[in-house]
This record gives sequence, structure tokens and C-alpha cells, in this order.
Amino acid sequence: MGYVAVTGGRQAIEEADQLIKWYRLKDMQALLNPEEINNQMRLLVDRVMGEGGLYSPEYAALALKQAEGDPAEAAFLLRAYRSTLPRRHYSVTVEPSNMRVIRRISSSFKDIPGGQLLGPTYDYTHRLLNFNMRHEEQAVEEFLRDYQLQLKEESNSNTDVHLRKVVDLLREENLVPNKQVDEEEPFDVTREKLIFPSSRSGRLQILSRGETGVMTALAYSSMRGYGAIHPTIGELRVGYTDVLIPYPFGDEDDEIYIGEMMLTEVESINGFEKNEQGNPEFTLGYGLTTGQNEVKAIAMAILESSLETEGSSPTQDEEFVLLHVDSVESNGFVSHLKLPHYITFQSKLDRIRQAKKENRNEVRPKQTQ
Amino acid sequence: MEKAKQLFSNVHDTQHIYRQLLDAMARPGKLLSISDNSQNIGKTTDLSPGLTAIALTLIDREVTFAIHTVDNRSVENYLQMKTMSQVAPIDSADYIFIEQTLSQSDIESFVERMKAGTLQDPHLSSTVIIRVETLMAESESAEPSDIQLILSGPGIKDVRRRFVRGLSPAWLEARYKKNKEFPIGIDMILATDDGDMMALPRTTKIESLVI
Amino acid sequence: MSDRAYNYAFLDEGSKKEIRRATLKAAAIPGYQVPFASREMPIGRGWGTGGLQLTLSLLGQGDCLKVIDQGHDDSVNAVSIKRLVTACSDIETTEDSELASLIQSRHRVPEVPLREDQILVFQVPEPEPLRRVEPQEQQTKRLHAEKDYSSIWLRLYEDIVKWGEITIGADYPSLVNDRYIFNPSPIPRYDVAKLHNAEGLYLFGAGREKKIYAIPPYTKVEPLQFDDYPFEVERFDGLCCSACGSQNAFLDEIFDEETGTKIYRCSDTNYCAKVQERGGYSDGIGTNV
Repeated sequence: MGYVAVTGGRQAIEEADQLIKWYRLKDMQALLNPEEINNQMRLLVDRVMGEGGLYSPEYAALALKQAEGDPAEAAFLLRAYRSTLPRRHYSVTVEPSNMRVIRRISSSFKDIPGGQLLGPTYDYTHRLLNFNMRHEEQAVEEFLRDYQLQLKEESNSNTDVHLRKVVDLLREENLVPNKQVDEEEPFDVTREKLIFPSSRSGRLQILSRGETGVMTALAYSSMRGYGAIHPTIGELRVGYTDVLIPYPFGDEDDEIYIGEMMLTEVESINGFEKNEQGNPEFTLGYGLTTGQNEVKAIAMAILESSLETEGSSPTQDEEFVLLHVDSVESNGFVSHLKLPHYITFQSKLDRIRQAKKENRNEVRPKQTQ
Repeated sequence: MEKAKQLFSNVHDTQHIYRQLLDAMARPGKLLSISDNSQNIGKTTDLSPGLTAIALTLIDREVTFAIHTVDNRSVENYLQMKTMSQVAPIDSADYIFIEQTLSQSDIESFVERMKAGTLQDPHLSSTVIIRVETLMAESESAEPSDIQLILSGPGIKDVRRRFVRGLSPAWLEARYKKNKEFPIGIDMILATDDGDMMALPRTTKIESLVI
Repeated sequence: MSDRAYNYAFLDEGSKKEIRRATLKAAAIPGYQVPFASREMPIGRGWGTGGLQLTLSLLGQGDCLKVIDQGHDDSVNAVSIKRLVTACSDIETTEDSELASLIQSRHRVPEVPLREDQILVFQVPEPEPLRRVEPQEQQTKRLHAEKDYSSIWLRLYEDIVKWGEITIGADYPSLVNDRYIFNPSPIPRYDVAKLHNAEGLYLFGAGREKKIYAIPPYTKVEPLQFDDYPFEVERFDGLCCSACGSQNAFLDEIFDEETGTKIYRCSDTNYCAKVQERGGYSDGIGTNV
């Protein structure tokens, strides 16, 4: 008979490997330097770090290059890499209140101690496609030279900006819960499967690693009416926070500085509720992302507040929110439909053919009456 | 002739021991051996090589353990250093290693305290690893304290007969009471100094006869 | 696996330990879904990360691995998984199900029954049989605890009322050890009987959903059925494999590349090759219809 089963799987994969490489490179003018992705596409790098759950702008840039710019693939690369890394230390709790701020705004108060610092933002740019950016070499040279001069002149004063939290002002008036610091070890979803009902730390961790797009959409739904949360932003700050680890060989109190990371932090103010003493207090929401990823941080604050409320909206269903915001899982499962499903389909074919037979059997007796 | 000792490999020895453990748990009563691997440990503490090998294979910083032997402290320190696992009381320990024999009332109280999981989370139960003297498929030379176990249930084709020396019947009584409401229950592993091993998961029905 | 050294079998020992602990508990509680942390793997979620984690935690020196998808050794995803495993370990691979000590499979059980020294690892997309009727994990967990399976029985009943039969195709819910209803993974109904009272060990890994479960050997596995509507397997009445002539193997329905006509071929390509080697169709290799 001589039939051989369909082969060629191995060759197909090898050929596909070559083809994606070809498509990535065939039209190149200059080979992309991952450093330049880091330098000139920092917002994409920031987003990928968050979704990948790994703070490393260098590796995120490399992943973006490898993935031809697909943020989901790049986040996947980071996650898979992170998966294999040994975990040697846990840092001391990071304090965004000590952040070296580059941008800080509040939508709740017009004036705040330290002022509103617009900082680097695209919020008020006019979205006009700038064709000059195709050939901006000279303009860029001039701009950098002039701006650097300007910075030098202004650097006589201390440029490090540290600002008090807006929410602390409300705390002083007892309008915001004055909670004790909770030193309980946070739940770690990368070490243990998240169980429901979930703890707040588990929820925050899932959201901080969540995909920007889906979180923005869900938060939007809550604001539009499919939910209870339409907050005011008490504070949004972007800047650099120190990361310290306990000194491994010394006193428990000794700490070593290992570097700084850029974070975006949002504290949102929702409605007010009665506290345990029966006094009205604002409920707060919290969002934190790597780098400058403001919409996700705001969305996170909305979603985590929403999950504290009861109701039938999607954003009030913790399983619905927490199980569908992970980009690696959602992309993976939706994409897996591309895998062969011949068996399940064959099985379904068998069932529908049977059902058709049953249908004919039922119909026939009536016809002979 | 003794096989040359090598350094215990945290990669390959633990993998082999795990496969034996899995085979043991999937086929309760099947006699397996981890002597090839446990002999690479030697007797560094009060804990026999068999139990030590199993401990090094299973525990780490994500779980807790408890020890019952003569010098608990030195074993605890050793295992903590080697695996980063934490000591916990019998009530909450995930893995419990019983090296020394216990009185009947001690066995009863230990088992009563052990966590057996809940209906929703039956897997959150302890695994008890007990050192015994000998495990046999046939009783060549029955001694008065030997127990014959007649085992049935998942993993066993019909029935399996095993003979154990050095296991107090109180363990089986206590286990029976503890495991009455399946899926709640504790799982047991019996191991000898030579590295012979068998498992008694909670699904196994045990009829025992003292010789 | 270029300039950075990976641990043997890719996973770090801590990850392997966690998977191993969960697997041992799974073997002690047949059919119960043990949660586990589930590391991200270099292949996509939904593409076999659960099965892969099980395989990587199991394998060691001396093992021989077979990987199949839809019964085929050369299916692209099976090849991809095999490449990953061989790149990070030193084990041999095979297409012969009788030579393998470990078999990782998506959607099929090989036609030749498992032996006592073999372990079959299933890739599982949806470990929760009650997900068909209840989206919430918190609820389905409670239902399993209380052995409250009325919802799934109702679903089967509704099928019969509407269609005159149970329309669940592959991944047919079955009762294990008279206690837990489980999803046998999207294997055809044809394969469910192989899990009952088997000689080998069956392990199930759902990476995305983060669950591991097991069917030990010599364990009762009963597909759900009603007395008057018994469980039905896929039928190939009058059909046989056009390559080896087998009438007692699960067949793929294929449209011939050139002629466009419908033909049938063994889904288990290794089994088919063996039968052909022996010179024609046979029912002596030991499968039950």
C-alpha cells in the first residue's frame, strides 16, 4: 500500500524559523539596535516590562526587537525568561512616597503642596501626524544641544523633587482611612495559584501584570455605567524610586541600595462609605505600573476599587476580571485555536451525524400516519 | 560489592527518587527502592538516609516539615540549611518524618493533630514518612511484631499482600480514623534504612493482621 | 538555549519540586484537580505548558519520550515540544509508543495499551468538567467538595431532550473512583475506556488553568450515562484505514490532497506504520472496540 502518514512537521518548523527571520530582515536599511528601542521607544518598553512582570528595560527592548514589535510576544518572552530566574532576594518595601518625581498631578485639588507638575506627557499634545520626523536629524541635533544648555543653567538648584502625597492631606482630616501598615507577606501568584475569594495583594499583583488594553477597556466599562466606580484621581505621580534589599550578612536593619526603577503610581478617590466608627470616609483605589504607563495605572485603581464593591457588572466579578487580564494566558488560549483540532471535530461530526439520524427517526413516524 | 558513592545530585538523584515516589503513590504497596540514591547521602544526621533522601527531594521554602527523632534539632537545622524549608508543628506541617518509634498514645495524638485537608482542598494535607525496619512481599521469617497488610483500592489490581516489620499497628488504626471521610485524609510512605519504600495513599483500604 | 545555561530539563529545581508535590497528591486523590503555580514556558499558554511542565518534572536519564498531537508524531506542535525537551535534556525520543517510558499527548491515547512502566501525560485545555454549566471557579470547587453534580447531569438530560442523544463529543465527563467527575482532556469518547482499570499511569496537566490531576492504574473510570441512554463511542462502521486496513483504530477523516475524495486513516500514525509493517490489517495488537 505504501502510504506514509503526513510528515514534514520538523521541516515545516525549520522553514518557518527561516521565514520569520527573512521577514524581519529582508527590507531593513539599518539593523535595529535594541538600545535604541530602549532609548527612543521607552513607553513601549515600559508597557512590556509591566506585562512581562520583569523590570529590565534592556531585556524588554531586546524582546521587542526579537518579536518584531509585537508587545504581547515581547511580554511573553520576558515572562518565560523570568520563569527560569532563581529568586535570591526580596527587596524592602518600595516607597513611592519617596519617589524622585518627574511628573505629578492631582485632579482632586487645583493647588497642592509642591504644585501640579505636568512633566513629560502627551496629554496636551495635538495629535497631528508629524511628517518632519522622517528627516529630523538636524533639528534633533540643535534641540538636544540647546536643551542640554538650558538644563545646565537650571541645575544650580537642587533638581531632585520629592513631594508629599496628596492623600496624606485628606488623611490628616480623617477623611481617608488611617490604616496600620500591614506587614503580612503578600500573596505571590507566581508561586501559588490564586484562589477565590482572592486577597487584595493577590489582586493587585495580577492587575499590575495585566495587559494594558484589556484593563483600560474594563475600567472604561465601569466608568460608563457597567459598574460603580468613576473616581477622581487624588494623585498620579511618575518618577524614580529606590530599591533596597536587606543586607544579607549583617544586622536585620541594614539595607543595601541596588538601584532605582521608574514607576507610575495612582491613588484614586472613589465615593465615601461609613467606617467602623460610623464616620464617612473616602474609599481609595491604587494603581502601580512599571515605567510611565499612566492609563494602566488609572485602570488598575478603578478595577481594584471595583472589585471591592458588590454587584453584577463584569468589573465587580473578581474571577471575570482577574482571570482574563493576563496577556500571556489570553493570547495563548485564543491563539491555540490554530492548533489541530481534528479529533475534537471528528468527535463532533460523529455527534451531529447521530443527531441527524435521530431527527429523521422522529420525523418519519409522523409522515406514515 | 558496594557501588561507589557519589555526591547526592539535587537534579538527578531527586528526579529518580521522585519517580519511585510517584510509582509508589500510584501503586500502593508496590515495593520500590531508592537505595542507589540514598546511599549517596550517608548518615549525616540522626535521620536515616531513606528519609533524608525523600526530604531532600520533596521539601523547600514553599512548604513546612516536622521531625520526630532523638535529636530533632540537628535534623531540623540540617534540613533547613539544605532545603530552606521551615519547621512547623505537627498540626500544620506539610511533611512529617517519623524516625523513632512512638508509643500508641503518642501515635494517636500525632495523627489526630495532623492536617488532613478539607473537602474543598483535600490536597492541603500532610504526607507522613515513617521509617520501618523491613518491607517484604513475602514473609520469609515471620516475627511476632510483623504485620501483614492486605491492600486494595485504586492502583492495586485486586489485592496486594505486604509484610512490614517495625510499624506499630497503632498507625493503621489512627490512619483509618483519620481517613474515614474521603477525600479528606493523610498519605503515608514507609521507608527502610536500606532505601526500600512503599506508599499508602488515603485511597488504599488496609486490612491488617499481626502475625 | 544559546548563551545562557538552563537547568537540566529547563525548569529550576524549585519549580520541579512544586510540580512533583502536586503530582504526588494528585495520585493520592484520583480525579481531583490539584492547583499548582504553573510557570510560564517558552511555548504558548494553551499550547501544552501543563503537559510540558509535567514531562519536564518527570524526565531523567534513561527515559525515552514520545510526543503526539492528534495521534501524530510529526504534527508541528508535537515536533516543537520534542525539540524543546531534547534541547534542555539528554533523553532520547521515539515515535514507537511501545519503546517510550513517557508519552506526552494532545487529544489521543495510543492504540497499544500502556504498560506498567509507562506514564502518559495529557495536555489539558479545560480541566473543569463543570465549567460547561458554571463559569466560576469558586462555585465549581464547592460543587466538587459537596459531590453536587446535579448540574452536569441536568446538562446531559437537556441534551437528550433536545437532540435525542448526549452531544458532548470529545473530553467526555467521567466519574473516577466513584467520587470525582473529571475531564479526560479532549480525547475522543473512543479512548475513555482505555483509562479504566489501566496498567499505566495517566497524568493530566492544565498549565493555563494551573491544575494537575491523575488517574492511577486499576482505577474505576466511568463515563456519565443514563440507563436508557448509554454512553456511545465514535463509530466507524464499515470503514477501515486506507493505509493499513485497521478496523479497530480511531480513524481520521481526510480529504485527499489530490483527488478531493474522503478517505480514512489511522489517527495513531505509529500504530498504522506498525500494522503496515506486519503486512496488512490486523486486530491482534490488542485494542478494544
